[in-house]
Amino acid sequence: MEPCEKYEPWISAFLDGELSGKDRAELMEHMAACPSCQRYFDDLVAIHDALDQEEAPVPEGFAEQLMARVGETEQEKPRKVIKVSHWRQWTAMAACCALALLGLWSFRNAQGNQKAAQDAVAACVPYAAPDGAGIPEALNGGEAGTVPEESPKLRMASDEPPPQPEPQEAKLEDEALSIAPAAAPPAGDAEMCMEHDNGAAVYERDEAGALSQGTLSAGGEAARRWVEDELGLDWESGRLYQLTEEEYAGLLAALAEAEEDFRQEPGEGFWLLAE
Amino acid sequence: MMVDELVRAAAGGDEDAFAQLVALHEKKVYNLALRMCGDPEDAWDAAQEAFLSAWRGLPSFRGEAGFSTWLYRLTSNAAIDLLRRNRRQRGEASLDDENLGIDAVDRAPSPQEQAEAAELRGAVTAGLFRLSDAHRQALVLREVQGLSYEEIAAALAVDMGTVKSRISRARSALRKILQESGNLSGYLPSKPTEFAEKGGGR
Repeated sequence: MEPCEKYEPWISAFLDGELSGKDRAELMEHMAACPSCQRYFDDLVAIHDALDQEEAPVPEGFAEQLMARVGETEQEKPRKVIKVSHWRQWTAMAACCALALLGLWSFRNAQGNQKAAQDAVAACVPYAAPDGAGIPEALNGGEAGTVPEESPKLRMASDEPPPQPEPQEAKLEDEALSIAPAAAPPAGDAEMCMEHDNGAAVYERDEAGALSQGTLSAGGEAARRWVEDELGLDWESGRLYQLTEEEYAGLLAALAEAEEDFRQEPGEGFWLLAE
Repeated sequence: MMVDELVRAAAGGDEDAFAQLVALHEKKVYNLALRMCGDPEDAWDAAQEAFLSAWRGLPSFRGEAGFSTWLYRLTSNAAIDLLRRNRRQRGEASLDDENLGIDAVDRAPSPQEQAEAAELRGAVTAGLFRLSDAHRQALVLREVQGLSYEEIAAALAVDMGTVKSRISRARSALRKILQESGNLSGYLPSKPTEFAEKGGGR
């Protein structure tokens, strides 16, 4: 005698008090007339009662042994990640444009034809930048064609609204383009592993599968100089770099001393965007 | 809340604070491991592993789901990992959702014993281990830890619909096991309305 297929999960939810009032009424009405479902319910109650056993005491020495091991176990420090890249972020699709752009770039350098380069860039390169939600969007290349509400061209939070696109294009003439696309933007669920030029740093998902979420947007000369000189990192590589607490503090100090703007959003990881 | 302060302190490396968290949770953690593993030694190991995972991962713990819930997830995962390791070592096939692995029961209960609650308890406990890990995990969190569907969903990072169906299927599978071993007979059925009136269903 099996319960009715529709009501089998209902009976289970009812037992747990997780059935809505409306469904409960319907179930009661059904069970009044259905011996199979009644029987099923009785069985589940019997199982529930049988599972309700006394809690066993914790054996002696458990906490002692545990704390001894805790003393020998290192905690995993939350990591700060700094992404150093040019303000234009490359999507995987745009990677093919990079080659074309390389040609144009050389052309521009040779001919001084800035407008052609600008147009090409405007046409080819979707503007994408972290929207503050965190690394995944940016690493996956961001959203093609979206302009974030707030330009990463740093403003202190209290400042006036960010500048319009024009200044960014003007900037384009001065700053070198990031020719190399960001190192293999991984698919959403892949482990992310970006190499630090100085060796060890690896960026990973944490236990809950979440990625670091903070952002630091800075792009002035002090930031660039500090990142290049102090860290020896490539300002325009578009790669992910991981900083230690000390390195990150040093960067903040350098920015403060130079009185350079930067924008910071809370979280454990930090993006550093070049302008 | 006191636990929040302890969690924050322990996340910063305060071992004494962590020891207090252990004291607060060790009984629940151990019992959860015990119901998952069925064996006191395995339960000990799994519970130790769970707390060590918590210690290691605390700095990254964001507190969205609550510390206990997080700890229960670590515990049931530690138990599942341990069971899988044991199975691999013994060369057993793992129990997936479809394979109930109904083998011979330890001993055939006599008709007399079938009516005894103690027997049913033992049979249910034994039957619990013939469920798949996912089913057992969901059912134990509900029945033993008393977590709500919402809390279980948070602990296992699945949605409520999944929780509801896993628990239902776990019960259905367990009932099948008990029927085939002859344990689900000889008890007094109760009326559903009486059950609801007595405040049952929580």
